[in-house]
Amino acid sequence: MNSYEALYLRWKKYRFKKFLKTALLLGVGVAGGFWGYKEFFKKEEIVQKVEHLNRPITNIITPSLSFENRLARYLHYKPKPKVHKKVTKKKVKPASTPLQPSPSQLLELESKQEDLTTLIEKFNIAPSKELALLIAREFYSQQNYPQTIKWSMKANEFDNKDEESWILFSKAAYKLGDKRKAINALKVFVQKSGSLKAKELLLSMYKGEFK
Amino acid sequence: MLSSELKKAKEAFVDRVDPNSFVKFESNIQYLEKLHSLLEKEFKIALLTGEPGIGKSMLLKQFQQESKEGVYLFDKPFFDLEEFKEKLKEVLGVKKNLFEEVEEKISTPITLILDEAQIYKEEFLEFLRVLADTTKVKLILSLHSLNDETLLAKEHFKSRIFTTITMKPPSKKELEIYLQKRLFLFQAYDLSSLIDKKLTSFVYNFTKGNFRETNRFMYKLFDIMEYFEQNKPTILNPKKISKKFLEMTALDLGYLK
Repeated sequence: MNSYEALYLRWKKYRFKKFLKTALLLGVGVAGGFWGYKEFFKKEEIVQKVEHLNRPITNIITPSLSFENRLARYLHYKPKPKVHKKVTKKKVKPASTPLQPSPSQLLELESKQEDLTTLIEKFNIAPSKELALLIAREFYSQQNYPQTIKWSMKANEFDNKDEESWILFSKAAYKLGDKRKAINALKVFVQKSGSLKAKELLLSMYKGEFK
Repeated sequence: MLSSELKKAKEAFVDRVDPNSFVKFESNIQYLEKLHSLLEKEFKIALLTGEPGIGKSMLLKQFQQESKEGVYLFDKPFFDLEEFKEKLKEVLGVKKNLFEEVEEKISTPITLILDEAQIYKEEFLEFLRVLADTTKVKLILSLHSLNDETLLAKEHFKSRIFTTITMKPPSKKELEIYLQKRLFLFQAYDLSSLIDKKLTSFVYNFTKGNFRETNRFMYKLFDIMEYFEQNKPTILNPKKISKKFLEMTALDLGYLK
């Protein structure tokens, strides 16, 4: 074989090796790039989370008791004389036109009031989170927002991680026009618990979509 | 691409010192100008340095050819001082006592150029120093490098050295011009037009602009192409010098593994 024929074969081998090297480098490069890309975004996500956690929390609303003192002005409730009536757990529908209720609605309201009185009495005898929540819920449905705040805080005293107590509190505060307080309370709870429901509510309040 | 064209191309890159195939580009034009300006100055010894294969011999040959009378080039090194003395007598037309007759006969100083001066021993260089001291003979010595170990770096020589011209490798652009013009000089016109920046860069990466190395590369390249043109013409693209052949050349010369 002529030396240049042999050289040609050598060159073919050289090209093949070069191709393999390039393919390998390219593969490593692509894999490295992909890994780097993933790591980069992972890091960014962590940084965002850390930044979020490290962000100083202003206007912290101390749950439970402190609210009670500050919101004393909302509290108008005076317990009624003891009425012996069976406690019934009813689903209370929100009053559609609270300012001018129809006769039937008035009747309903009265009965609800009576139910609530019973519930409150029961609570006074045997306080519990569930009872406090039930009362807060009833007050909210009756659009009695100061009482909702009072009872949601009572419920919160039993369990400050209870989602519904925070939500009821925020909703009532919002309805009373204290938007900032409502949002701040939700922010604190979202940071603490990450509750989706609270997030959604917070968002709707931010956007002004909450009615 | 004809076989005859490739033959001419090969011929263009045969390593020879022939002023007819001297290619001018910016840097060697400057070196030539510096050498010519030396002729108008009074000095004893001037040096031309540069790595082997950089084109010193070719430059000196061109310089001698461009110069008028009174410039003598000894391109082959002398291994014996006596041999040099005899040659010098012959050149200068001196018959007996060299130094006396040089002092008497030479009115206008002559210039002697000695190539490959790095091989000369102390006795030889001492003779040259004495010769230069007559002020009738100006010496241009060409050597690879002037490091501290070189005899010429010794103090008694240093004081007599007027200037040192250091040749550096050409730029890529200059090498491209060199390749094109060299092929053109040898009438390989088609191939000359195929020399481009890419090809020059490829060659330059291996030869670093060294002309001896470049000539060797180009000769081998055209030799390989000639073989395939005669035996496997299908793998030859007549419109370009394919990278395949450049790589084969680099492989054959050991630049690539």
